[in-house]
Amino acid sequence: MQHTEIDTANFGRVAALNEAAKELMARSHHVNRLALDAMVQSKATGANLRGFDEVSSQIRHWSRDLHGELERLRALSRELVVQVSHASKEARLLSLLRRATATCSENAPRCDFSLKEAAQVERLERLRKLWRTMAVALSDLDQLGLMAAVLSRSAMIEASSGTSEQRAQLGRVSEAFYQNSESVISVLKAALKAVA
Amino acid sequence: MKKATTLFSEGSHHWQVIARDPERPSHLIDTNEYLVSSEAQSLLTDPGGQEVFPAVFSALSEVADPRSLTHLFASHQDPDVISSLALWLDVNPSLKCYTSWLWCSFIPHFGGSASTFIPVPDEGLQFELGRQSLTIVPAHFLHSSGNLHLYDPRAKILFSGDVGAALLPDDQQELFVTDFDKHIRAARGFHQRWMGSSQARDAWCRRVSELDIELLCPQHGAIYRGPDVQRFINWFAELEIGVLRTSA
Repeated sequence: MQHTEIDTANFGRVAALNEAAKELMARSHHVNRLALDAMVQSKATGANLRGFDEVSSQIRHWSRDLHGELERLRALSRELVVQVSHASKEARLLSLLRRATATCSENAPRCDFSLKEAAQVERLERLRKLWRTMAVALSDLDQLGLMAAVLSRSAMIEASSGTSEQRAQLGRVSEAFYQNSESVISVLKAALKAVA
Repeated sequence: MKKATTLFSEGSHHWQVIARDPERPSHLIDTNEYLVSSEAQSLLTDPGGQEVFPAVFSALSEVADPRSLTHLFASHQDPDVISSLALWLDVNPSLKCYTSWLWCSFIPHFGGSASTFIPVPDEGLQFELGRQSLTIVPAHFLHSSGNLHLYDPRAKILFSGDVGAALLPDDQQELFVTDFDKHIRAARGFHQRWMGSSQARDAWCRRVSELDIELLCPQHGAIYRGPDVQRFINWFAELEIGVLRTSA
């Protein structure tokens, strides 16, 4: 008999990923707003902090990239739900068929559900592949998380080069960048752990 | 994919409808699922058939963590109402399902064990979801012999199962009723055929007329709001029901 059972923890893992994606999406929007604010503030101070403007602009790009990756992650997550649901239904059906066959008398005609079993084995393999694709997508996101940390540190360095007023204003924004990037990294670590 | 839309939100108390799946195969009837949440508890009304489970799960995930779902409410025993039960129990094995006592040994054919169900007596009951008190309103024989609706006095929302349902054409997919006269044409045939007891209908109309309802939310079709709620109740009270039409 082939292994056709499905681990129902799959739903929990998808749910955990969806929660992570929502958190990251919110962070991405927040960071985008912060970067815009930073650029406006930098202009308002009339400063010549071109380096800071450049970093802010890169952070906005980063936010857009994160957004794009999260859309990909959501599409994968929806596909996972479809596959897990289907595999779960089929596993239940196969288990009932096996029970039915086991209770039949010796002389009763045997039903052959080997095709159904083979289809389920294939389905479970597809599901494993999908999880691997998800793990790769999360690794890509993890790279983006690290990039955020680098960018936020650059923003802090650039902010420190202005006048004391500029340092105070831009320092606050840079600090917020940094905290958000740290949160992004920690959410991603938790998501990767959920998938592993 | 289905989409979740907020109907009511006050503090930690929310109602969201999960509706309208453009990718739904045409041979499956469209359904509306309602997520009610208060504090740490949440309930999904008529969670749907197993074929629509992935769409409902994904849409629900956009607004809540499906693992935090604590209760289901099955207005009756139909497959489009509750055949996804086993899958929801895969998500959270300790889920509890409110349903008529009449169906507590029938619905387990879709999944669950004796401990899954909270049998609701014929007269209905009141229960706490988080910090919100909800009322299960009897609607027997409309259309099922053990049929229940769910009323939230704070949100002024009545989940009315198949009552108020309409089989909307593809070009009329709005979430709320905007033109009552046009909409009700899509509800007429459904109510005439599915609702078989005038006595039960009259009792229901009297009962719900006493409730303060802002939104009447059926399992199929568009949501009635404001004056359209009473308009619907009046229309239903006058409708000739239990009509078997020969196919024209």
